[in-house]
Amino acid sequence: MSLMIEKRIWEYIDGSCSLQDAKDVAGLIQTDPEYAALYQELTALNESMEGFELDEPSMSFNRNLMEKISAEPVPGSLKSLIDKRIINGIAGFFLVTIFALVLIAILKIDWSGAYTLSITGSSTLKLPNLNLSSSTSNVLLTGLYFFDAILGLYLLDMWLRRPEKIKKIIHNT
Amino acid sequence: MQTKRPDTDLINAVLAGNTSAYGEIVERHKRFVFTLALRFAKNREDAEEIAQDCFVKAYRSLHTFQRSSKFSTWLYSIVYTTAMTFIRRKKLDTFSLDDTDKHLQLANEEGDFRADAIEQKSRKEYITKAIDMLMPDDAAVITLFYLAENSLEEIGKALGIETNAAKVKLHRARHRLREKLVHLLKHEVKELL
Repeated sequence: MSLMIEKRIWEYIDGSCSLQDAKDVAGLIQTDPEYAALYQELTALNESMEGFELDEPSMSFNRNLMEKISAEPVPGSLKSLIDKRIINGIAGFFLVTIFALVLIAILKIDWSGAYTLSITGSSTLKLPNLNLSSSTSNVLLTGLYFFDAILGLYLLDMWLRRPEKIKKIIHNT
Repeated sequence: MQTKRPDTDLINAVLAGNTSAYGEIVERHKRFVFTLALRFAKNREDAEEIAQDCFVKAYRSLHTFQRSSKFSTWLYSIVYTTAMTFIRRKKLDTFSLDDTDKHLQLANEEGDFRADAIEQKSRKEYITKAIDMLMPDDAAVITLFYLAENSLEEIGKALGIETNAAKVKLHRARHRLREKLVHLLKHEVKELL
């Protein structure tokens, strides 16, 4: 019962009850000693809470935080939108693919030597027979060429941008 | 007199690449974020860690902030989720804090109280102690309502609940706070309040 009274009084103090409820509670506070006592107590508690002050973090809080922030890319920029896990995943995929291709190539080598290379005419050097045609397809090779081309362009772009960055650093210092 | 720049202006500046504008946002909200974090962490070192984590998270996701609500409400929702994750990670036993350690502390405080502690301890000190004894969730609701002067709707948004649920939560939190205060001050609560 007192829990219900408490709820009604809190709503009255907050002003979140209906007009009729507010009138009823106001009347009960005047006539009912239980309501009056609880109202007095809750009002005092409410006033104490409203006068509360916020805690202050340490002096180094801003400095430490802004150091962390300065290491972050600008929010919303392309750099900030790229998830490093995805980049690592792609890198991992290609590394595994390259490793698997090399492994297959080594396993497929015919060490008995089907081809010979004449260097001087008199002596011959035997090369292993590397036959990848059974395990590779044109699509795979085209894909690899395409990847190499993209990688080449990316590295070229990085190389071309480098002097600008250096200039920027020198300018800033 | 210099007028205070609105949060949205500062956010636009940050998104345009002006990192120092974020410093102003931090300065504006750090005290409240720290206080709210303190309600969960119960010690200053952890609270600072949570608060810093929140500001970094907010910075990273600043471009996703929908301007339909106040920036502070959005920030408090980050504080709430970060602090809850922190608690789960640290496996803080809030019940043991609530029921054992604090009550052991209370036994001494009651002694102090009887020994003319009214003069020594202010009303606010007791209320702070009572808030510290609450569950982090309850303490957060009270902090959001009284310290941040958030409406029930804003509290609901920050905690990811409906307005009515926020109202019930606030009512329960205040009821528990009153219980803690009564326990803390025993029969003298009425005189003190």
